[in-house]
Amino acid sequence: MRSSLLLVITLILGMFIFGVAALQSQLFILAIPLIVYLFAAIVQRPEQVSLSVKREIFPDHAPQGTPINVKLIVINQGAAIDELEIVDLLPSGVRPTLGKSYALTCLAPQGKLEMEYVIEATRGDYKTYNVSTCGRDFLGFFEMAAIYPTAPHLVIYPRYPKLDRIKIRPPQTRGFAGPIEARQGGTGIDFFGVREYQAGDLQRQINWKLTARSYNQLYTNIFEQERVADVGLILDSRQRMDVYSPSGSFFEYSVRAAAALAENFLDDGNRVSILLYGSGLESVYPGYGKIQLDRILRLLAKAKPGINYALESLAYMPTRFFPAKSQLILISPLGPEDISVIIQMQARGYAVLVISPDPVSYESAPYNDFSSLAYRAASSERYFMLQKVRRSGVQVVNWRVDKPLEAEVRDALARQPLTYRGIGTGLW
Amino acid sequence: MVVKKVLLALIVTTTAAFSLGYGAGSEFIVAMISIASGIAWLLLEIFEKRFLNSIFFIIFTILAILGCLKSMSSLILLIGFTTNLAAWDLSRFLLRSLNLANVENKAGFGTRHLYRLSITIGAGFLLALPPIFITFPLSFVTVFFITLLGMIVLSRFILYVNRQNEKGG
Repeated sequence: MRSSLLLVITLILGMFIFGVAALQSQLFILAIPLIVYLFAAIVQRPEQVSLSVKREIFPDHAPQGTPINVKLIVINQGAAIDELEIVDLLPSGVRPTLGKSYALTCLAPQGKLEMEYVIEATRGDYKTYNVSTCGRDFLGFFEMAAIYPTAPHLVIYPRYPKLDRIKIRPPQTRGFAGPIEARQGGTGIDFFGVREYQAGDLQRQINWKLTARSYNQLYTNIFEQERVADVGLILDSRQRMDVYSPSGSFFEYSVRAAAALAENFLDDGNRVSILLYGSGLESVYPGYGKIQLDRILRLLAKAKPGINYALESLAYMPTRFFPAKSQLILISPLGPEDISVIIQMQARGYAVLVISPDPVSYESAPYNDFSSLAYRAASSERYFMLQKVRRSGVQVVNWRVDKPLEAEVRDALARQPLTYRGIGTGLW
Repeated sequence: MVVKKVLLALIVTTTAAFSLGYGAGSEFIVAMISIASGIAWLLLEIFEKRFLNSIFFIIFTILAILGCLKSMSSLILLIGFTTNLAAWDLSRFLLRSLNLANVENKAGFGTRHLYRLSITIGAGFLLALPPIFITFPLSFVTVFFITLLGMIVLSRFILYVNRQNEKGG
């Protein structure tokens, strides 16, 4: 019961009792306005609040930080409501930037209220976007509250940087033309080798210098074919790999990197898949194009670090999810126990690229603690761990998240490991 | 805003009614208390600090009950108490509106509330007027039974309201 209603009832009772006890008729007289006041509230109390609530969100999926217009339409399908309080319950992570997400009004039967406001949201998949309504009598004594769930849900993608083309050399490519050197002779741009002339070879491909040195034999230049490849992204979402600092969750950087890489490889025409490993096993099967990018971004929108004791180690990675001899890109801060698993993946014939956001520098950055013994010890430990991975032929990008990913990737991949030069070509 | 002006006028009327009533009965200390309470309430309303409105409503109600015991003029008491009730209601209304700043058609909403409140309070005032002028003797037993009946009705009503609230969730 509302405190104001309780107060009025208590006063009426008190006046009656005190009036009898003190034999004061004036107290009964004073109680009359209170009784009439209470009676008016009872007569006008809302018996039933029946509303139709509709929400329109435009756009219903957008990158983080995009202003999103929300329109709420409330129609009263019951009797008139003296006071109707409407509060749009913003999910955690959503904040209004323009306009109000709540209103107080009176609605006649079939009366309509339209509320419009602009929000900004952090990355996420917002399914529970409800409207709280509270109908009251005009004196505010009796309330009828209700929660209305609204249908369209909002998906906020991570905001990610645009990357330049990343050069990868997977052991095997697919049949379609693309930007990746296929280690096979044919038509292309880069010189690949020389072979004896075969009928049908273009005249301009004949290597005249070599032909001049040989006896009665023509030779033809062949070029390296360029194809698309299978790229598998693995995002490490194990809770214990996440670090929280005053600037937010470290996992967000991994998500942004995964989104940027997915877009980069899909733009080049590659077949891309993604696996979220840690809180569970969530995946998007290999695919091409913009629809695939949308699928991946939707998965990344709801990615959260979580605990799953069965997936505490990368050893349970379902690598068969990815096509054989494809390019795997693992986005993980890495722990010492993960090294052997990465080496095994490389040994199984996958080309592995590890993009490892640096948790040590991230944790130290808010305190500017780059000279302490603890920082140096942790950095050294991480350096030796990454060196061990590099020595096994795996490409590793040690990404200090305060620097752009593009620059870090460019610097790290400019130096190709020796083991990569001859795979599949027989040229060691 | 019309509602706020009416509220301030009601507080002034309440304060004036009680201070004049007590002043006329040479109860200057109580008159001073009513003036002090009225000024405090007025200032708080001007600066839109409405969290104490129920306290002031109770203070003036106690002053009204005390006035009954001091045999103050019934008409003045009724005027003071009725305006006190109306002021408390308007203060609560403004508090609800303030909590939700986005009030649709603010002026119309306030005017509508004022109109309905004036009817309610006016009806209460008019119904309370005849008993001031018409008196007839009742024995203690009759009064006791009338009070008992009233209490039973009210307690039933409280039970009903509680049940309705539980149904509403």
